[in-house]
Amino acid sequence: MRCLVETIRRRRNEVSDTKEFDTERLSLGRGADQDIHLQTRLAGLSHAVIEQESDGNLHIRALAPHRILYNGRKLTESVLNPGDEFSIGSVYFTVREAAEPYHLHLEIKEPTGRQSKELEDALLATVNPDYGLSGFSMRRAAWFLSLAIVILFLLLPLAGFIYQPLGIWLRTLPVVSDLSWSPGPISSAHSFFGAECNRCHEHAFVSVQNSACTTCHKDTPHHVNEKLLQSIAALDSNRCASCHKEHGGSEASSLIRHDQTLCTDCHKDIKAIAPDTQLSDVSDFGKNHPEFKVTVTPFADDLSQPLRIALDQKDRLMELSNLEFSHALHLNKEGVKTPDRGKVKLDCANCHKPEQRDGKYMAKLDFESQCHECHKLNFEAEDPKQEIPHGNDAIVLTFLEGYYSARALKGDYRHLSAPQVIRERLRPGEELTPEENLEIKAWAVDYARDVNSEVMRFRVCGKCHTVTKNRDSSEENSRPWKIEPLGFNQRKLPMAEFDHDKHKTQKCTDCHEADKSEHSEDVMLKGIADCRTCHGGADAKNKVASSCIDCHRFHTSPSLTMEGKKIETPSKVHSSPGTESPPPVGNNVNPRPDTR
Amino acid sequence: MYGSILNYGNYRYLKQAAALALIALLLYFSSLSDEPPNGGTWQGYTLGVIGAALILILLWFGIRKRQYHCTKNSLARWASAHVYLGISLPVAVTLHCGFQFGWNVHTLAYTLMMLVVVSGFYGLYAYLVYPEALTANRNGVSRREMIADIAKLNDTGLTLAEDLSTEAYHLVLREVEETHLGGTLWHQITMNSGLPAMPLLQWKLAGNFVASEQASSSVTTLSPEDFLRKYFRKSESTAEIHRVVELLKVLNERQSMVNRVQLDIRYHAFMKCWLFLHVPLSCALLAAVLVHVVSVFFYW
Repeated sequence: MRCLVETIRRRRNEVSDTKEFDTERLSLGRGADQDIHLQTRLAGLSHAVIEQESDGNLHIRALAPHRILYNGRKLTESVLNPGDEFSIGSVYFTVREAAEPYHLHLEIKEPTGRQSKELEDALLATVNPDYGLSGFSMRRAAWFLSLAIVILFLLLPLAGFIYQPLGIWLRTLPVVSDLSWSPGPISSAHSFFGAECNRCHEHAFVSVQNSACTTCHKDTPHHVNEKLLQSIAALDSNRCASCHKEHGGSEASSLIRHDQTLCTDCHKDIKAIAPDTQLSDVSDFGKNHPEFKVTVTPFADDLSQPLRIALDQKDRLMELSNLEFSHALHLNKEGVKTPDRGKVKLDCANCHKPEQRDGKYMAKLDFESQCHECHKLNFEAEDPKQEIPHGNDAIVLTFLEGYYSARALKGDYRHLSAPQVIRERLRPGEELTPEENLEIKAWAVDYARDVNSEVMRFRVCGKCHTVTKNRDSSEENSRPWKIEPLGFNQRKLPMAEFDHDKHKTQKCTDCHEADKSEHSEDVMLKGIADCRTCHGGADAKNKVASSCIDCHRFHTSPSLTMEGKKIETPSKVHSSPGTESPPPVGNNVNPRPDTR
Repeated sequence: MYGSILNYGNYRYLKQAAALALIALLLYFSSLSDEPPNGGTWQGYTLGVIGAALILILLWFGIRKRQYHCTKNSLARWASAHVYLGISLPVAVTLHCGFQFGWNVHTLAYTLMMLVVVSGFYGLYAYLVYPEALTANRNGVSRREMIADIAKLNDTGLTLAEDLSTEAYHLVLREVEETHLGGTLWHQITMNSGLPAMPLLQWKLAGNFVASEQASSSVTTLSPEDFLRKYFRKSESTAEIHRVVELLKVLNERQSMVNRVQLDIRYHAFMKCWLFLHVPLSCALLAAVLVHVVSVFFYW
């Protein structure tokens, strides 16, 4: 094995010494007997040998217990390849490509300076000032993390927004889509399209528009009655999403809000946004809520304009019912006389029954089932079973004319006013002359008119109803007296949602002073103080905590949708059972009176 | 604690940070009556602006501390503000988000912020504790001087060992070669420093001598002291015994010096390691806050 060993002087970087060896075993060490004598304290006397092994390769082998730092790793043996570097102590070797006739060409960089300097350098090298984190730089890590976040969470979702097919595909991947922007879970009602962000978020940097909501919610009634909309600009300037907040979780208490600040923000000082309103300020049911106003038709000419009167305005509080009725009389503790059953003790439930659907409101009263048993409509003493039909005063006279014509034709009607032909019985085979017929007809018409006047005004109808003379000249002959339409509303508190069913554990008289009412003009509701015995404000501790929305509704416009379109058929959800039209709102709005 | 960044300006920034946290709490509680607290209420937006402003101020500290020429507002003042405002940041941000967390970029930003703050807490602890320990350990000698001492002791030890025997030389040489003062960050922190050096070296040294003369089986059965006694009894050369004792003294001295340097390096590592998290995560936090703000207003 022929070896060429060149020593490089460090300072000048030039070959200072060249040696040639022709040996089987090239020895390296600090000992004087070594082929290559290493001038370093960090080498053994006999540190390593280089030999050609049977495989033809040149091997360097450290002699125990020494080791060699070969290409940066501490080894005991290695194959020498051109370009490799190794060191023993502070002596550095480079394996060069060996030119003929050499088998090995080694280049040695010798250490310079003091021995202790060499030892010191070796120690300093182990301190490792970069903490072994070579390749790690805080600056690079900062850039990497920041860019990764911006690319993954901003640029990719943005690209998906600009090019929708990409966006749809990105949403199938984790992390990188606009789904990572979602601040919270979608409510369960909207979750079926929750992953399609752009169903609601249509435009960049533009808050969700109402049109996105009304695409589906097209029948939602407008906030309030359209007559009020003009004056309440604040309502219109709000977006749907100002109140209905999505991404609040599957239960989404923020989507349909129950907190009363949403209402009291404006209603605690309502005149600030609606200067013309007659509403009072409200901030809390328990602490600051005006007395209830009932919708009643007072004694006034114009029945189409019911008024809203507060329950504490006792002097104004009456209702033109056009009915003569005493609750106290009917609730007499001794009972009331009935034609067939003797004395019967009545209670509220005998007449007032809950609606069949949900019992929220009371069913309409009905003459046949509630009054007729006692209040018979008979008018003819000789024929007590015969009764005037109820419910249509326009046909009463015609009915009576027909009745008395038929009665007169039979004869044997012994009324003092009746002519002879009527008082006598018509014998078999006897026929009336045309003159007699005319006489009977004239009497029957006259008499029916008298009876009509009597039953209408005093005896039958007039006993309960208010009956007035018909001033309509076109009807004067056919309907001289007319029954005034009933002036009471089915719902006194149309602005609130009172549920009788939920209060069925209470006695009726807890709220309605029926046992003391002797006139149908009385409004028998007790008022807010009575409610407050059980109900407190939103923060009430020892009472039923009640916020605005427990009684009141929003989105109640009877005729307009949120988009301002006409509601074709009133929404079942928002229409009020018990009234034929949606509840009246505001102070000057008319609920259609019950005209039965 | 005299002159610490904590009591700078008579705790001026502690007071400011406490006031800020109080404002944040008041804002939060004022929003409780409405919808569930979140970043979208006016209180939420206000808290968000406060949080973002705090983050920018805190990040500016990284720039300010590198402005070596800047003399306006001392660095100690900045550091004090950095610490206290950094403590008030999680208060403002947690109330900003209304304790709403999810798998989204917003909570990513929150998590990054918490990591930065927690690593900052560690950094504060390190800066309060380790400089004192470091000074005590150095005892007026620089690390470079200590390393030079070790090198000299290495040299002396090798000379003494060489005179003793080849085996002794190899043993000491191995010890010199194996000595790592630093290493990777993990190694620097967990390095086994401060262990008594003598028994280990005695064991090795004595064992080596005995192994060369007697059956190696007894190496493991006797204590290092017994080995030494055994060796000394056999040796007839007083000079040799003297050299062994001399060598052991040198090696012992060397080992204690190595321990001191390793401790020095470890304290430095303790004071530096948290920055590897704190600094890159701070920048990542800035990016995440940017994404958070843009995304929130993009899908308003």
